[in-house]
Amino acid sequence: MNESATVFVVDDDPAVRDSLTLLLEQETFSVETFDSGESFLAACRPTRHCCAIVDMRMPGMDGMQLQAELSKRRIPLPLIFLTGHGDIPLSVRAIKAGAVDFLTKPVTGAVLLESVRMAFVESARLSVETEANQTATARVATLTEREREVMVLAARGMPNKEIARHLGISHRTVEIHKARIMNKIAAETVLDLARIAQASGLPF
Amino acid sequence: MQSVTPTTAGPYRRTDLFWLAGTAAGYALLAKIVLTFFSTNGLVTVFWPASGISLAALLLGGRKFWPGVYLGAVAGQLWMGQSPGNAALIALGSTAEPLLGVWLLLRKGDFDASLRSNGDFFRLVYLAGALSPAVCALIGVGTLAYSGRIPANDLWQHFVHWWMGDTLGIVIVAPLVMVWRRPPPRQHWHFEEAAVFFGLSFLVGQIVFLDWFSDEFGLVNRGYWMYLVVCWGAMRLGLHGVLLMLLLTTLQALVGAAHGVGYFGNDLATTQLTNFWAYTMILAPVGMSLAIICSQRERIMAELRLNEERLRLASAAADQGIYDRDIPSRMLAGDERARKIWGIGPNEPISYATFIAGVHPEDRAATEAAIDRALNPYGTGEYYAEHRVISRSDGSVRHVAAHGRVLFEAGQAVRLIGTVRDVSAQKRLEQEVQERRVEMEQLVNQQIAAQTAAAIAHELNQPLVSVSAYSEAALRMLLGGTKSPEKLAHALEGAVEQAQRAGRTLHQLLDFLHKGETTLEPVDLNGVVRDAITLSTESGCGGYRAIVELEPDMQPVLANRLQLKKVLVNLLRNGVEAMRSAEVPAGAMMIKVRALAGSNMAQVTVQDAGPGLDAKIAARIFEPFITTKPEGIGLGLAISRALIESHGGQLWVEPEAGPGATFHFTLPFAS
Repeated sequence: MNESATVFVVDDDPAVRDSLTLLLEQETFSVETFDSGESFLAACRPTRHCCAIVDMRMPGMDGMQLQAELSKRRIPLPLIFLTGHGDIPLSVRAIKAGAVDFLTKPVTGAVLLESVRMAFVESARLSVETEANQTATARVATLTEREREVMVLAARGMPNKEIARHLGISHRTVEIHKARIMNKIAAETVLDLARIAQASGLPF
Repeated sequence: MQSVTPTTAGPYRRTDLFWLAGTAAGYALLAKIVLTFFSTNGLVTVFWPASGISLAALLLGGRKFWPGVYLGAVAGQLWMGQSPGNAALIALGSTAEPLLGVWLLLRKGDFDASLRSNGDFFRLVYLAGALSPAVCALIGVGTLAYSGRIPANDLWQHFVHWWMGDTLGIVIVAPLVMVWRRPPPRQHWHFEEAAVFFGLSFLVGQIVFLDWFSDEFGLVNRGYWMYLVVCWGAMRLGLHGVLLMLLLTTLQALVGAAHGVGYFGNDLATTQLTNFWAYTMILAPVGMSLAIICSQRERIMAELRLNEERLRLASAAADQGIYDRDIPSRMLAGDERARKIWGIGPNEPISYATFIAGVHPEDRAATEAAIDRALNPYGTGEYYAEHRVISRSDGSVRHVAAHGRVLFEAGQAVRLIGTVRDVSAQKRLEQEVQERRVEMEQLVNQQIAAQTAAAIAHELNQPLVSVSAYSEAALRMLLGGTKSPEKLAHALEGAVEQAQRAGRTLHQLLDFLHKGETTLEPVDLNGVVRDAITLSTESGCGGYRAIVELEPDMQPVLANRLQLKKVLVNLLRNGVEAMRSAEVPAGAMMIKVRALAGSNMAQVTVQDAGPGLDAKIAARIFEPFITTKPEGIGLGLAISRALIESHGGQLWVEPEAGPGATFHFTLPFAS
């Protein structure tokens, strides 16, 4: 296992934090604990290999709210939820929103550690994706306002003629914009353009 | 029909002049005619219709018409050749007479000038007809004697004749005017019948008083024939017919007497028409009072019909049947609706036994008790009962509500009259509402149980997570050959601490759930049993027949009243639900309270009539979450046992004591 792998434990119960830390340390993970969603958000600096074990029921911000907040801040972090009772609708929502696992208390060490390992695999995937996204975002940032508009429409698969009509500019101007865009974002085809648009988070 | 209130007085109006003149002229004319044709001496007669006219005029028009009477009387007397002085004096008497009559009649304020009752008629006869003419006769005869027109030795006879004439005039003519002011009631007067009646009356009058067909009838006495005619007129044509016929008959008799023929042919000579007078004075009241009674009867019948119709409409609108029970004969009469509600055919006689047989057996005792209470002469006589009836015709069961009132005679109940209403639909609705409420309550209870369970789960899960994680960490340290015994100790200490925390949490929770229910006091066990039965019925678990055996003079037990009631209601509810699910309708539930000899304990037994418990379930029935009910959560008996044990008693089941399940619990006495 990677030495720098960090597990964040977010739980309001100090005994749970302490005992999970002890258990996870046996597997040579480094563990950081937080007593609430708020304190976690304030201090968390996700690295390449990390994941979080989050109690679903906490005073203040609960597990689902923490997940939503992380997603809003575009922080790619695999989450493992702990819950008191198998609440199926809640677990479905959490998994759909990107949670790695949803575990019922009291959880056995084997199950928990298996989930943590899966979370690290996910973490690695996420960090690659994030790097690609960051590159794409940086490139898109070099575009002018008009070029960005043209790019959004092109990424939707709109032909040049229609883009021209839609923006009220000439067909020729669209072609010039498009050529510049392809150049700036280093795209070879419209398919590349669409992929970069998605990775950069353009609203298309 | 409206009554006629006689006018008493009032200021004169222009039209009154016409009536004053009319009264005067009528009076003078009648006086002249009568004295000319029907008087032996031109001074006194036995029929003086003018007095009837004057009384009627003053009764109907008001006392203010007295000048008309006075002028008419003066004119009449002058016309008959009296000296002006005599005429003025005699006219005073003639005016005083109707004024006195009107005053006597209206004094009490309830005289009806339409003569709707015999009271009105007879008051007219003896007050206005008998009393006031005496005044007139006194003045008239006095004046004539004083002026020498009649000899002094005839004074008494003249006085009597004067009085008789005025009386007859008042009895026959005044009612005629008063009644004929209004046309005869159309519905009783058929023109053809009236024509035949008056024709026959005239014919019989002619035969009796004027000797028509005297050869054919010869010596047959005919005077009483008129009674037949007057009875016919009274019954068929009312006062209008009788009065007209009486006038006709009186005139016929007078003419006969004047011509010396017929029934009163010799009367003038022998008795000075006293026989005629007596005959008419008897015939007239017979006819008139009969006519008044007949029309009164008709009026009452019409009102009765109207009332019956109203009652029918009201009972139809309220969908109520009406019944009437004759107590001595033990028979009931019921209208169509009541019979329909009872399911008894329209012509079937209903005895009290028939009625009671139709009352649902379970409601019979309560219904009879309610009837007995109502029949008690010292009670209020009010009857109210709700019970079920089983239709005799189709066997269907209806809920009815019966109201009634008992009539007593000489301290004995003689009749029970009342209404009965079909309240089945209302009952059904009430039951539905009740069932919904119970369902709702169950749902809420389940919700509360689920939430409580979730809270318990969370409180217990937290330490369990830690215990599990600490233990596994310790295990891994041991298996991995730890180099840090401090860490191992820390993990194990953590596990112990968290296990202790779980235990503490559980105790706190139980304390919280039982908060405020722990005070024990001396409690009347019989009273709590009765309360619990009422409570279980009110909370929708009724529908069972409670067979209660209480121990009289029971010492109080040491218990918490609220908890004890909870345990009892829970046992009753279990029994009812067991019977319901086995579809035992309205089964019996036995509740027995007794003191256990030699142990200072009271024992309560609750036994249902359900299917009972099989031994396997009976063995686990007090474990939490064990239930035989589809909606149950299986905590009722567990909690009940815990509560009874906290009182120092025991709760157990006796599965073989059947028919249904039998539960016992014991409680210590307070002393």
